[in-house]
Amino acid sequence: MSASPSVLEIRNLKVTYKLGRRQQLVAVAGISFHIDRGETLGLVGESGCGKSSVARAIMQLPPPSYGNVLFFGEDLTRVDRKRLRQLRHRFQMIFQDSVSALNPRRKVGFSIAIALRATDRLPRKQRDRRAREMMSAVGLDPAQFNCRPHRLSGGQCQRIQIARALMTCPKLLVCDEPVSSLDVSVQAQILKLLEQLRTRHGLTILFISHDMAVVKNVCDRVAVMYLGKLCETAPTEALFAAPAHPYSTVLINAIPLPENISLRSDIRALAAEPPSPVDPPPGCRFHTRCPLSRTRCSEMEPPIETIGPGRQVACHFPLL
Amino acid sequence: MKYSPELAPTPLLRIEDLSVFLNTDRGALCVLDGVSFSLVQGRSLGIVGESGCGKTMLCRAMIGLLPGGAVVSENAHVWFRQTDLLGLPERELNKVRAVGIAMVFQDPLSCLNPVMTAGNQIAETLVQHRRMKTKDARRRAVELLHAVGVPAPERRAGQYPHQMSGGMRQRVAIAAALSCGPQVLIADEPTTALDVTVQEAVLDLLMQMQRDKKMGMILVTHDLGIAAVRTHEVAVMYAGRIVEQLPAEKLFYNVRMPYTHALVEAIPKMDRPPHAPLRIIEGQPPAPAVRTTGCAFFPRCDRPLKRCRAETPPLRPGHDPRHRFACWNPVGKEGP
Repeated sequence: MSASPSVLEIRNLKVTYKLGRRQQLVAVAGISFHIDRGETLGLVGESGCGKSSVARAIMQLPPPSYGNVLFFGEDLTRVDRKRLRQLRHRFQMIFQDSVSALNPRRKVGFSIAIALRATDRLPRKQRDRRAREMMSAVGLDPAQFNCRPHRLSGGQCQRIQIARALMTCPKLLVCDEPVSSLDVSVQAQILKLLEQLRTRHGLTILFISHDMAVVKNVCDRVAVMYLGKLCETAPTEALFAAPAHPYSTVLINAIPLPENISLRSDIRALAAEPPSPVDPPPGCRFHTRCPLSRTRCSEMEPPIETIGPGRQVACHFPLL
Repeated sequence: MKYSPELAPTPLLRIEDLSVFLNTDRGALCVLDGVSFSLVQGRSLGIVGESGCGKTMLCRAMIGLLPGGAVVSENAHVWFRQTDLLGLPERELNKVRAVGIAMVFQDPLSCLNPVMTAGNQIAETLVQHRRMKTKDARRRAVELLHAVGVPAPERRAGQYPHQMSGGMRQRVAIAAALSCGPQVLIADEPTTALDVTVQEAVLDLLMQMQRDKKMGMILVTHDLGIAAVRTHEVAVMYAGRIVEQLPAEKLFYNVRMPYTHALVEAIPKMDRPPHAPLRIIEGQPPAPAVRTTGCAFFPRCDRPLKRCRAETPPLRPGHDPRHRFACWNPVGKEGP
């Protein structure tokens, strides 16, 4: 292990779900990546590709079926419950559906303050004061402390979630589609807030999204996922300038923005929808939809290989 | 091409001064406020706006599906060719639906009948509106499924909605909407529930159908990028009003209404480096409220005048007659 370990390192992570007695769904089929201190890594892919399963495996909710999750060099899948509880406040998560992520019967102030009860043994008054401070730090009116979630809008609930996650001063923030259910103007507000907090608290972020344009704007590096496997990891600018994996190209080409239409190449997926993850295709998982696939692609699974500084791709015939 | 109103074809659909109120215990909430526009054959109009701005209510008003308790203003008209659909009895309205105006809804799972096969749902429309024999209608349904790009259409026609993926269901819904050859197609957020790659394919299909059949199409979306890329003309809605209407190619480059400008600025763009700050609009889109005077965007606007609070700005064209905007203090300048 190196002298300064990454904030998060994932090694050969696998997540499986049981479907009935014999069948199982391999949602994440062995992926590895790392996130360095202060970095924002984007994890992108279509729905059902296993993005959220990766997030939950990192949070140990529940622990992954196989593989290691190293948090500052400490393997979260191996530590005992007591140590995990000690570590938990340093990695926090923001969920996609902010309204259902909050307890509807609790006042939102309570939901924010309770994060401290598990970590610091502060008296309640101080906890509430810290919660109010955090509310104004994320752009909420502290007078809303006594509201319940149904009284607040989607954007406000998302701010509550962010406030709750930041109460314990985490080092790592896992954001699972934090802006996908929000309106354009509110999405911009939340993205700006996350950027401000990232610099102020020195956060390291895993940013899961299906929106490539958002990822382009907030991430330093991007990992592209397809049917439980990584296709490509690359620095953001390099990926968008010249994607190496055909699937990355397909995703970038699908961004509906006027400036994108004139620039894009004519590589498009053969079928609009991915095959079922219950029964993934043999060889390269993308070969059934890849416009550039050849015989070898259906026979042999491409290993993930380094092709440049910080760039890795799993393709027999990369575009670079 | 120079625009001349004399040469413009007669519109298929013409909405005039449409206001809709919902009676609630908070009073009569104004969900649509004086909406007017027209749609000609073979053209598409994108309607964009944030949630609660009245997009869906507008679609429902056009096809006579307003919720109970909704009151339409007396001077409003929804002209479909020479017929005013408002005030038409349900029997007559049913003759226009599917044949004249058809609709594709946001969530295909809830608009398709879960206990009816895809083929039968499409055939039902044909039997009902085209007086086709069941057998012929079923055969036609398979042809339609083939036309909207459903693989193995014979097998799919016998399947139920829950056996299909989201994109496939939306294709079935589109096939059903197109079954009677409508002149106007209203698509209300048809791709919001779908993945980006599937979204591409469904929008490609809608555009191709619109071109081939020379339909007028209304595409409702919250995504300005989709509206700019996929339609001819875009109407931006805010708090129940159209606040700007312009040719789609101008949407990202030359807008006049500060709200549209701020919305475009708030979209993450491709040409900016990571961590480039986004410009944001403070506050939230307003919930439907009792009608007041003044510009609804006034509290969030970064260039308000005294006049904006007191007088509602009318939707008026500038030098370009195709570009209308409702603002006392517009951004940008005249020009292409």
